[in-house]
Amino acid sequence: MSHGSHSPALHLPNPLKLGLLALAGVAIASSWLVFPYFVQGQQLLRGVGDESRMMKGETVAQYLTRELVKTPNLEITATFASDEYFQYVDRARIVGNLRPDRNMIFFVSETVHTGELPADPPHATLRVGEATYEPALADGPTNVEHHRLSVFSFPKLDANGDPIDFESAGRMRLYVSSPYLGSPSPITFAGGWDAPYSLPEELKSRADITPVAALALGAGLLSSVLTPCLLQLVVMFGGIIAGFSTVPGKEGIDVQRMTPIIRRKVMQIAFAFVLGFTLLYVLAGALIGAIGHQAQLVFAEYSRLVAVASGVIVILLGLWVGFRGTRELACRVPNRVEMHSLSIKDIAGTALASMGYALGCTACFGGAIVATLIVYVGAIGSAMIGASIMLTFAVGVAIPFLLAAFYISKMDSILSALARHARTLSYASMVVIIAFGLILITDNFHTVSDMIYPYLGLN
Amino acid sequence: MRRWIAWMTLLAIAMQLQVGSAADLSNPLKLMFVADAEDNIIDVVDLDTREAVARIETKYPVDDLVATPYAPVLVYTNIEHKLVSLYDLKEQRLAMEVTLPMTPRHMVLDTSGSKIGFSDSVDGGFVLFSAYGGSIIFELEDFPPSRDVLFDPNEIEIFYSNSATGSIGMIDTNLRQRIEMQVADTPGQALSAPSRSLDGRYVYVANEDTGEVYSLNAFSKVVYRSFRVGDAPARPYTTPEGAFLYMMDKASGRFLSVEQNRFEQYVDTKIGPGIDLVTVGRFDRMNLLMSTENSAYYLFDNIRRAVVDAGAFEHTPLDSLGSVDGRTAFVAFRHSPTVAFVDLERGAIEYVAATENGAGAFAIGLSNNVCH
Repeated sequence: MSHGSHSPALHLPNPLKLGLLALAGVAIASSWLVFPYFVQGQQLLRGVGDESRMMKGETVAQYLTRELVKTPNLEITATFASDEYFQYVDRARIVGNLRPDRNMIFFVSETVHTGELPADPPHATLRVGEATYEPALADGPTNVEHHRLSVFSFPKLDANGDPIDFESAGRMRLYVSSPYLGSPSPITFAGGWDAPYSLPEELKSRADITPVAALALGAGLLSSVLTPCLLQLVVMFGGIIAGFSTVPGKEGIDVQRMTPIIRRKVMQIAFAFVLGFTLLYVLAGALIGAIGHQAQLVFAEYSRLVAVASGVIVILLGLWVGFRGTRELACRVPNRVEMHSLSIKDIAGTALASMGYALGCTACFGGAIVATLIVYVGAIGSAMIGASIMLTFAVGVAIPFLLAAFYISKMDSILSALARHARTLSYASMVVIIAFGLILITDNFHTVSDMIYPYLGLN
Repeated sequence: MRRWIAWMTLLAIAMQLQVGSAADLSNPLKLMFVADAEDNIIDVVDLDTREAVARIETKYPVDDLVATPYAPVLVYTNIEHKLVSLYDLKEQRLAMEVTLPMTPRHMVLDTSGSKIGFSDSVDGGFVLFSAYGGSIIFELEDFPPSRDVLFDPNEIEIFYSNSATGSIGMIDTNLRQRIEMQVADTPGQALSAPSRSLDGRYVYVANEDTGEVYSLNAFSKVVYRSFRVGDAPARPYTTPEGAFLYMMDKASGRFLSVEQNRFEQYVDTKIGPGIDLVTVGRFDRMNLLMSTENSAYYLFDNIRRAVVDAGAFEHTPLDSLGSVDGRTAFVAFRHSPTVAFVDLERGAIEYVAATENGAGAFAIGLSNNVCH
C-alpha cells in the first residue's frame, strides 16, 4: 500500500476491487455486531443485575439489623425482615411459609466464641407501645455449638383479628432471652426499630453499581437491546463520510493534491460523528440515571416529537451536503488554510447530524434502555451511573467507526475515488441522509434494520 | 358449454392452488395464525398486508396453537385425541404428530420458543415438549390439575398453581422434580395461572376466592406482599417493558397498577366490568383493556393515568396479543370470522377477515406479551 502523497500518479482500481475495499470499510464499521455473537447480552445484564441487587440486599439487610449485644464472647443481632426486606433480599435457605405480608418477621443470629450456645433457641417477645406479643412461629436449630439463626414471626393481627397499629406506637422492640454464657437464668437483650418501618427513599432508589459493572452493562446493552437501531447508524456514517469528507470540484481535479486533504478530513469527520452520538448517548444515560422509570414515560411522551425534530435536522443537513456538492470548491479554494476552515463547518455539520440521528435513535430505544436497566439493575440511582453505562455503550460503537475511518484514510484507492467522484458522492450522500431523516419523521425506524437483521442470524 | 365451465373451474382451482402455494410462510414473525372455532382449518394472516394469505387444513379441530418465532414451525393441539401436531411452515406440510400421555388443555411456549409446557386443569398431568424436535422431554405423571404454566427467563424453573392445595408450585427442569409453597390460607381456593416480572424475580398469582393477589420473591420463595383487589380478580398482568404490574377486579372493574421496581401504587381506578384481557403498547404507555365477557374496550394511557378512548368491538373478544413493536393489538373473536387490528397509539380499529366461523385460538409469531 502506498500513500497518495508519495505516489507519482494515482490510478483508480477496477470497480470490483474498489467495491470490495469499500465493503471492508463497512465491515469494520459494523464490527460492533460481533458483540451479540460472542456476548450473551441478556445473561450479562442479568449477571450484573444480580450482583447489584445482592449489594443492595446487603445494604437493606444492614439497615434493618440491630446489634443486641456485642462482646468478645457473645454476639446477637436481630433483623427485622419486613416485606421490603424480602423484596430486595434473596435468602435461598428461607424456603417456607414465612408471610411478611401478614406477619412481622425477625431473624435472630447468635454467635459465641468460647463455650457453647444454649441448647434451645432463644425466647423472643415483641413490644409495641405498652403491648407485648408472643410469636406465632419460633424456629431455630437445637444443640448447636457456636452459631444459630432463628426466626420469629408475630402476626400483624391481634387475637380479635384486628390489625395491630405498629406505626403509631412510634417504636417496636424485640426482646431475646436465653441462659447465655452458662447463666442459670435467662439473660435478655433488646433491639429497637423506630417508625416508620419502611425503607428510606435514599435507600430504595440507590443502586450499587461498580465501575466494572457499568462497563459490563454497556457491553450488555450493546449485545442485546440496541443493535437493530445501530445498523442504520453505519449506513448513515457511510453517507456522511462520503458526503462531508469530499471536496467537490470539476472534472480533471488534481487528485494527488486533494487526497491528503481528504485523508485528514475522513478522520476529522469520523471523530466528529463519533463525538456527536457519544455526547448524545451520555446525556440520555444521565437523564435515565437521574429520573429512572420516569424517563420511560418521558420517552413515551416526547419520542414522536423528538423523532420529527431529529428528522428535520437530518434532512436539512442532507440538503446541505447536496447543495455543497453543487459548488466548485476545489477550484475556488486556493490554499490549505481555507481548506481547513471549510472542514470546521463540515465537522460541525457532521456532529450535528450524528447527534440528530442519535437523538432520534434514543427516542426510539430510550424506553428499552430504561426498561432494561431498571428490570435488571433496579433503580439506576444517579445521573453519573446512567451516563457511564451509556458512555461504555457509545465507546463500543465508536471504536469500530474510528477504525473504519482509519482504514479508509489508508486506502489510496478509496481516497482517489472520493476525490474523483466528489459531486456524485455528495448527491448520493444527500439521498441517503435525507432517506434516514424521512425514516425518523415517518416513525419507520426499524424498517431498514428489519430488512437487514434476518440475514444476520441474530434473534 | 359444460366442458368449458369444467375447464374454467379447473383453471380457477389451479390458480387458487398456485396462489396458496405462492404464499411464503417461512417467517412466522410476520404472520398470525387463527384456528377456526368449528372447522378444521387454520387461516394464516400476513401482519403487513393484513390479509389471509394461506389456509392450513387440519385433521381435527384445533384447540390451541403456537408458532415458534425463530423457526418456521406451527404447533397445534387437539384435546379430544391428546394430539400435538407440528406443521412445517416452510414446506407447508404436516411434519409430525405426537400423542401425549395427558390432555393438552393448556399450552405455553417458553421465552426462547424451543420448549412447550402442556398442562391440564381438569385431570392433571404435565409434559415438557421440544417444539423443534417434536419429542417429549419429560413428563410428570402425578402433576396436579393446573392452568397455564409459567417459564422463568432462565428456563430452569417452571411455575404453576395448584388450587387443590392452594399452592404455587415450581418444577425444577434439571432435576425434574417439583416443590410447592402454600399461598392460600385454605386448600381448595381457586388460584389463577401465575405471572411473573420480566426478569423472573417476582411471581404473582390471584386467589379468585379471596380476591387477593400474592407477590412472591421467586428466589426466596416467600410471599412478601399481598394486594386486596376485589371479589373476582383476573390473572395478574405484567407489562412488556417491565414497568408495571396490573391487577384487575372483574366484578367491580377496578384497575390497580403497581410500579414493579419499587412496588408503589401507580394507578387505582375503576374502568369497566369484566376486564381480563390486556395488551400493552411500546414504552409501557398505552393499554388496551378488554373483557372476554363483553365487547367493551378501553384505551388507558399511563402518562395521563386515564382512559383516553373507549368503545365496543363488534363481538366479544376471545383473546388478545400485542405486536412485537408494541404498536398494534390483535383481538380475536369467538363468534366473528374476523381479527381486529387495533392501533394502540391512535385507537383506530381495522377488522381483518379470518376463519369461517370465528376463532377458537390464535397466535402470532412473536408477541410483546412474554410473561403475561
